[in-house]
Amino acid sequence: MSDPAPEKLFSPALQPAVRERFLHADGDPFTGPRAYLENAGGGLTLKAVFAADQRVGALPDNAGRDNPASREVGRAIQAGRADVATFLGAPAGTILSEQSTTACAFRLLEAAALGRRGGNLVCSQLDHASFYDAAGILAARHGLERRVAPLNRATGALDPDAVAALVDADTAAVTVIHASNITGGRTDLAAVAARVRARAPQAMIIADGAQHAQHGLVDAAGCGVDAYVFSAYKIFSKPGFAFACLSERLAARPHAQLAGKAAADWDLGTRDPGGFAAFSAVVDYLCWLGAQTAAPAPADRRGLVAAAMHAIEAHEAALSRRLLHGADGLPGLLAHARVTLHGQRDHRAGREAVFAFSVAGAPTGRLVQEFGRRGVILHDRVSDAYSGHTLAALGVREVVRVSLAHYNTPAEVDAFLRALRDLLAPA
Amino acid sequence: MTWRIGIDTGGTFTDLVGINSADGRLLFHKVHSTPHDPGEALCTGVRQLCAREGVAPAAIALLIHGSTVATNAVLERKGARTAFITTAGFRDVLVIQRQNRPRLYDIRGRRPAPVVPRELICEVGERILGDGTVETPLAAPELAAVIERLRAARVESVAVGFLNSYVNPAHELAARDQLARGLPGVKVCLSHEVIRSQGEYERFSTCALNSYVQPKMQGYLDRLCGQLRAAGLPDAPFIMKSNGGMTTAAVAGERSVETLLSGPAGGVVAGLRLAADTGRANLITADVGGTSFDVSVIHGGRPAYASRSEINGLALNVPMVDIHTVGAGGGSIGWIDAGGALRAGPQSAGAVPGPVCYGRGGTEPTVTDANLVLGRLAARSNLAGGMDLDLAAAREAVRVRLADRLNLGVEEAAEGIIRVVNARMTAAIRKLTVERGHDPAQFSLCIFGGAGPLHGAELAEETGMAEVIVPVLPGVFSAFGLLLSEMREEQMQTWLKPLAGTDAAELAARFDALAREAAVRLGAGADGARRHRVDRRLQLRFQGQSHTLAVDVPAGPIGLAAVAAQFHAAHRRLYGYTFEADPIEIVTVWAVVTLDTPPTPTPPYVPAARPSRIGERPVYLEGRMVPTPVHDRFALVPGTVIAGPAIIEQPDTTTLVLPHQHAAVDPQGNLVLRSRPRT
Ligand SMILES: Cc1ncc(COP(=O)(O)O)c(C=O)c1O
Repeated sequence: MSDPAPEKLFSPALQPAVRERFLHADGDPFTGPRAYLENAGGGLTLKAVFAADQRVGALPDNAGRDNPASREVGRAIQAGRADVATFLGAPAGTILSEQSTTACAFRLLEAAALGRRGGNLVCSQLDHASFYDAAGILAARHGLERRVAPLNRATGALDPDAVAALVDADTAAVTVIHASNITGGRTDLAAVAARVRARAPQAMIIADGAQHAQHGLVDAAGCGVDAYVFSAYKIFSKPGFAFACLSERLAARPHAQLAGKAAADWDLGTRDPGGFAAFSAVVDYLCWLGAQTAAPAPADRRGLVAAAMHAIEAHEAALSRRLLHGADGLPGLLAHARVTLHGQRDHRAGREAVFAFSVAGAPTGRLVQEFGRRGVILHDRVSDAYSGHTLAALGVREVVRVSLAHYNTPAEVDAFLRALRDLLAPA
Repeated sequence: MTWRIGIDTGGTFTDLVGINSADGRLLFHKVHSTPHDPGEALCTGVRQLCAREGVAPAAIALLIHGSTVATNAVLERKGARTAFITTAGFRDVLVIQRQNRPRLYDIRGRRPAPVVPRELICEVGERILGDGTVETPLAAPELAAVIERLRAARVESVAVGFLNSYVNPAHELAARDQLARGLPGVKVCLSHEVIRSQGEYERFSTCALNSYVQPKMQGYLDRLCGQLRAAGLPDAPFIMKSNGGMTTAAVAGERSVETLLSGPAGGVVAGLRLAADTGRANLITADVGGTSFDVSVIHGGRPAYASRSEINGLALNVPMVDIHTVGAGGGSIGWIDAGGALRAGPQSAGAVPGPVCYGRGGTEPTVTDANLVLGRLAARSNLAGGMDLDLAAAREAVRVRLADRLNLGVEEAAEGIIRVVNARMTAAIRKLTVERGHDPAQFSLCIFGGAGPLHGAELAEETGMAEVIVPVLPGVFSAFGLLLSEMREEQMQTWLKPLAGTDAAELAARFDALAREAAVRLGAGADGARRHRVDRRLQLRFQGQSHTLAVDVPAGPIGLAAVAAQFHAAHRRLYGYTFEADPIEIVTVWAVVTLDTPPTPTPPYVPAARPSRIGERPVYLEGRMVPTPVHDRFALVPGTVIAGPAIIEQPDTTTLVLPHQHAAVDPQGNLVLRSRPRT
């Protein structure tokens, strides 16, 4: 965590090979060519994901029947679960599939809160509304306290001690966002877990990896959390699917299920097998990328995933430097006096490639439109149901967000910087 | 020039709140009031606040003052020696007042004595008819004789109220000229200048009240300006009015009657801001002080206004925020009535001697004592500057005065006091909601005043309100409202006319004329040089009725059909029915002019970085002592949810969260209490 990420762009040969594997990388079906820099809202989809989903989703019959098509459906689901475990670095134990991270947040927190007399749930100002609100609503419903750890305004991240300070013997669960979809601030999950465990060994620690998943290796078992949750659409797969790995003790908590199912079975009813196959296609892709970037290439899928994620981090770190500091005569985001960056200014210090900024005197909605007209897709986060609490904690009402992914190129970053320069140029 | 300071003079404390309009920094301070001269506490308070916070007097841009000088003059009958001159034959209008009886079944019912003693009510021959024509000219020799009498009687001020002066003020104006010559130095107040409306009793009463309080108020303000000047502070304070707007000291010194019910108006203004900040349209504001409980309704983002009210039973017709007050608060005394029933208030232990637990000689158990006995209030607390409360004395008073006589346990008796006082507050809330066609379930209860947040949870439950909001600084919420108020003047005039036959352009012209008058008083200039906005209102009734309903007339061309529709809607909401086909009549045309001023920002809420849980104590809830967590309000980070039962303490108040409730801290730092579904 303390090691700054190395900075290394993909090789000129690899970059196009990466982009070639994604749908709509260079342009969208409506407006044509553009730079897609709104990856925190959802990543581009892999072509292989689309194909796998079509192939497996089209298979007749449900799993668990005695015929080849059914067996293939069952296999795809099992393989998908195994790939989720591989991706997360989790034991094969309980892998939960749900429709979204938000649904996971409500189910997991409810399991932790249910049947307790009093106690508290600890979340943070940096949490996405999915966890923040689930904690608030469930606390109110079950008579618990919700405690909110403050974010660190200077870094736009969450300090482990700020979380640890709020836990005690009555803490039922702690939610920790692994990386913020607004500031890009990354949490040192292992440090949080260690400090929480020391004070409140009973507390269930639930990590929200929705933002982080596509940007760095996850080591769910190693960092000591009870659950790690992420959304498939944020990591090149299809919407409508989120996955989580659960510790044995969390999996054993009471939860909705059919009476005859194994206690650790959390899935409800028939899931879409295409969603599992699609995620296997993501892991296949990461294995391919790992093989391209590591020498010698590791032999196992986990090793290949790790290599891929390190390469992704290095590439994104290089893009981040360019975005913040500029290059080839283009001023970086930090060079503009009218621009305020909310969060960490050092791209090597506990942050991911998500940048929230404001421009003095310019409403964010207008800015997003203006960038759009210049072929740069961004988004703003406003004080709505999703982001209000975090923005308030940052002391702002709205921000523009630019968020990068590993398929983005230096040229796309430059397109952003050029548009910014033009927008800020005195008329 | 960045600081604005609001000063709210209360019976016990003078509250000061300062805000830095540049960065939103908020300061507050409390000093003991100096009832003999409220300006003393005001100046001391401002000086102490400045010294403590290093604010240079020159950095103060604005002082806004909520004054009770006029109010107390009426309540304590310590106004000026004033005379009232009226049309021959109408001497006893002020004494007879209205036909309706204050208490229907009280055969010995008495009306309050007017503020002018009967011997100082004088008649002169004159008569102007309802259409403004002069029937009998003003009898100057008669007036001259009256003047001689009044000189001998050494009156300080004179009110003049003639019949129908609201249509033709000629005689009142002529009388003033003659009075000015005959009684130089004596303040003269003309009824048509105070209010220009039909109904001679209300007009005379309001005019007499103005004459009664005006010399006091003017004297007070002159002295205050001198004190401020001597202290190197801005010597042109603004004064809060009953309509929720502020005015200059010069206007307040003339139209003092407009400040009579200004005390609670600050709370409503602050409530409006809270409603806007939190996206709520419907709010009941309730201010629980030491002696009184003031309720008001904000509906659809707008406060309820009234143009008729009374003070001490005397009619007072000036535009004001509609506030209902009952004698119930922390100082309300628990007592046993002749029938053996437990009662609470309206008598109050006041600031002196105060509740028993204050140890200042109080012997009667009060609501505050009951809250202490029940553990809702801490014995050792930061309350009112770190005062320690005497629990043993409070228990003893509750036991001796109430529990033993009622054959109850001490806690039961204390709980009884709370339930009875809550019932009185609940009745006040119902009066403004249920009795006015509002369903309390559609409202949030915004509760403040030092004693409020201990009662809010139960009040909301009993009235069926979904949530309680405790603002960040409930103890100085009203003073904060002073900082938010705008310069506002109103002008109304009776204009009896069938709505159907009204020419919209003529009506618009009437509004314009009234707005111009108000704008001049506002200092906006007759030409409207300073930017201001005009709100237009009409008081309407069905032809043949006597009570009116007010509707707003939006800017732009006036649509009479829309006005009628609004009237019917208001009638239906209030009474449950309307008569779509019946003719409607305009009674009063009413213009409200507000000066555009840069808005005072709501200060950001910045919690302290420390654990919020500061302890636990037993609190009597649902019939037994329950261990209850205690939290430090200012350590609560927005988003925090606290499950009840809980006590949340802060220097200026204590909030009680009931067992089946939870309290959430919103992004602005307000506490929002709601019930969880019972399982
Ligand atoms: C950090 C974070 N957590 C949770 C979510 C919610 O994910 P979902 O839409 O799958 O519920 C998002 C979505 O933007 C997110 O960025």
